[in-house]
Amino acid sequence: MRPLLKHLIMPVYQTQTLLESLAGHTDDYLQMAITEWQMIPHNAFTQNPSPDSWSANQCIDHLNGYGRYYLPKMKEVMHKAISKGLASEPLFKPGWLGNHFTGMMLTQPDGKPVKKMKTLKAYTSPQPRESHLVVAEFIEQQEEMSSLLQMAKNVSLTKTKVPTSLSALISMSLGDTFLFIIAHNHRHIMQAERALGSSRSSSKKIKPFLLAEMGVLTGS
Amino acid sequence: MIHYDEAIQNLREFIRPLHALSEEEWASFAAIWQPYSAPRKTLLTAAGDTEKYLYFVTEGVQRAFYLGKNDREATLVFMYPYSFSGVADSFLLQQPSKYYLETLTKSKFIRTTFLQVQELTDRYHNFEKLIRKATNFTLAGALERQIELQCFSAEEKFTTLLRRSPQVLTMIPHKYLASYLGIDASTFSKLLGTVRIE
Repeated sequence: MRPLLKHLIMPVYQTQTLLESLAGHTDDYLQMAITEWQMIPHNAFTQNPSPDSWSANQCIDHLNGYGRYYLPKMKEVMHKAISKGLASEPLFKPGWLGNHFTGMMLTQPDGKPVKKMKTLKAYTSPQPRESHLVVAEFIEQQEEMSSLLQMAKNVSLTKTKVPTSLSALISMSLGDTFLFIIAHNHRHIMQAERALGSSRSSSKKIKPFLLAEMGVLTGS
Repeated sequence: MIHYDEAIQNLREFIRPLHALSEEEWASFAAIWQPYSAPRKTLLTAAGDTEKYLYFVTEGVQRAFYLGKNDREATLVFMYPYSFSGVADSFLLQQPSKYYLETLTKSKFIRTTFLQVQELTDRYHNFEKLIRKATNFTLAGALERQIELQCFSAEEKFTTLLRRSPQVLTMIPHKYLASYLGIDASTFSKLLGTVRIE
């Protein structure tokens, strides 16, 4: 009974605070990529910390794969939403699926995942692509994400729907998509930082991804 | 308030080597600035707009760029603390800009308008001298850069940039630096590897 109840009681967010938090996180990731990752040589960036663990390059290219699908889609649905007049609302309510996916992406305070996940094959990168290309694409995508988060101030986060990469028949709300993607980014960025050497003091620059700090109102 | 006062002080230090203003002239100049900030990737001026503002950057990085056919882009210049920002030729001539001006990171400025600057140049000949001298330096810089772009090898352009402004490597995404130097991203990355070994 209890697990079901947990899903019935979902957080409600203040839209403005949520978007600002997500923009803040995205900005942190961008700063990390610009101030640190750009300067790391290919060999170091593509180093596997252990045979079973991804290199930083693989982590970031994994994120790029998601961005390649979702960013253009989000832009497209926002344009449609603007023309349909799906105006912004002060509150955002996650959907069941979105909330579930976001929850799966969350990390513990030390940055390690709460739940370990096997990634779908299509999104794993087998060969190490040139790290400067991977980092450059990541930077470009996070810049785009920043723009989209600005644009999102003008549309309903709840009513605007984004078809997921799982299936065009399964959609999530725009708000859920932002939450999921950015939580996912956070997870793999922490993983990338561990791969680069968890003793790096710069890792502390990535603040924890805490839903409670994103304008959550006591849920119902 | 603290940011604003500090910014005005930085402005004063910045113009000091350019040209000396009297206390009265400085006070009038200091009075025309307003604080302004913008998040990352904000378009401050678009091609076709007439540049209304003269900015003084106190935080963050911006760039002016040209957009050509087939989405071809050329970064003209980066601005970062402490310097003036804005599309200079459009501002001075009050003609439509050919270039875009955007923030690359969240940025803080103080800014003033053309009308306010014009009012001061009309009032104080000495102030107009300051503007003229600043423009002279900008012109000299533009000519020097034109020669670099035409005559220098990729490596020479790269090392010149690093010697002049080493901090840009960790401030600006490398794709914009490559665009600024007129070299492609792979060449830039190779050069980065080479220079580091030295």
